[in-house]
Amino acid sequence: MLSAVLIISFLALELALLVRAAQGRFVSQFPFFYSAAAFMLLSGVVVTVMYLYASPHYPYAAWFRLLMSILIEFAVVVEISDHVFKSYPVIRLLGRSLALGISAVFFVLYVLPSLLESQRASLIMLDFVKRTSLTKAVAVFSLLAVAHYYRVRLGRNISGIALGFCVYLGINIINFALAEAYGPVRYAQTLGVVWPLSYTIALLIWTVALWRYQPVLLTARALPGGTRRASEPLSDELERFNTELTRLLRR
Amino acid sequence: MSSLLAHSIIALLVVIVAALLLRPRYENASAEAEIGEEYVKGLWDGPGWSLAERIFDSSDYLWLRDELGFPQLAEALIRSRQQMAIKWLKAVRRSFDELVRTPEPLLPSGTTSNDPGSWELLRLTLRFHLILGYAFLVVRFFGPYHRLVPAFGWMRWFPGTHSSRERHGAADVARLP
Repeated sequence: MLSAVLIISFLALELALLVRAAQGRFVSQFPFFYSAAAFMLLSGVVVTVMYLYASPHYPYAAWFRLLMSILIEFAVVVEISDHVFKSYPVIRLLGRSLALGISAVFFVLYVLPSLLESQRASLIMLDFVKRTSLTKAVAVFSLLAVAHYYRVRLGRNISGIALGFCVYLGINIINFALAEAYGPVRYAQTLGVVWPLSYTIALLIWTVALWRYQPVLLTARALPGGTRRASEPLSDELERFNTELTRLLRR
Repeated sequence: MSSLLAHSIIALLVVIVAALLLRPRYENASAEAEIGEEYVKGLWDGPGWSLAERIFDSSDYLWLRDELGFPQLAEALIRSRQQMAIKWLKAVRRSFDELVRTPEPLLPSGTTSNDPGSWELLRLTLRFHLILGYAFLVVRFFGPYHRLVPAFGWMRWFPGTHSSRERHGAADVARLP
């Protein structure tokens, strides 16, 4: 009964999210995010139909969907990283660099060693989901922390995507850590409920946050003390800061 | 079980701190601009620049200690100059952060910005933070008169190298205002 409610909620919310974006013509503003959402919807429909018809291929399809969703969720991280500093030319690439850097470091030092351990495939899988979720959470958290440092205005849409994603990842980390601790057999039923539940909660937050496209409007402002000259390109000013500081410290 | 506890704490922290970071902030723009102006007024120009040079110049300290023979007073001066140096470095950081937060200018259609690639801008930003972070560490732990950047004066004996007083990086310092 609970599973049926979750499946219906998931399909309804995912459909509402995509239809609303198509109606408002802002799918192209968040291409990675909506691609991931479309994949989750289509694969969810396929897997649900296979389950209802008791297809013998259902377990393989469900595992395949889980694996693909782990990879596709990185698209949401990329989407957030692309939008956070979008309006600021100096640090425009900081978001993606940070996200990719953290993901790469965590993959090499944290995810890969667990994949090389000799364990049962199901345990490796649970550990893999847990570790990749933590990697994504750290990447998003770092982006938000840097955005906070620079007092960047994120806007309702990106804030909603980030918050929903963090809630989903947080529940996932605890859920898969519990599954690992209690064993996949004992925890399978709970895992099967909590995982779709966490995604449905995230979908609810995303649907509310993305009901309308609300871009962040920034007003051009003069820098204090006349530091910025209109004719001086940003790169020259950055170079000036570097040069003057180095000159002073080299005395 | 300890792994479960650690992961649970991390997950909860991520969600709570992310929610706190995402709270809408109601900034008092005018007050903030006023504070910013106070900090960065004429940072690189005449009086501001000479003040910075004075803060990092050890001649007053040496004069007090060696010529007048007041070592305790010289020590008090160095502590005061250390605080001033930290404040000055904070003002520089604040000014730089304001520059980084410059929004994209609205360009007429068909024209492009003359700025080099965004990678170059990012490189300069990271380089500045690296130098500034290092300067903070040195000033905090060794004081403002410690040589902050290692001297490479011996490099001038090699053919093709120029004096570091004349050129720094890509810019010609001698021509800066």
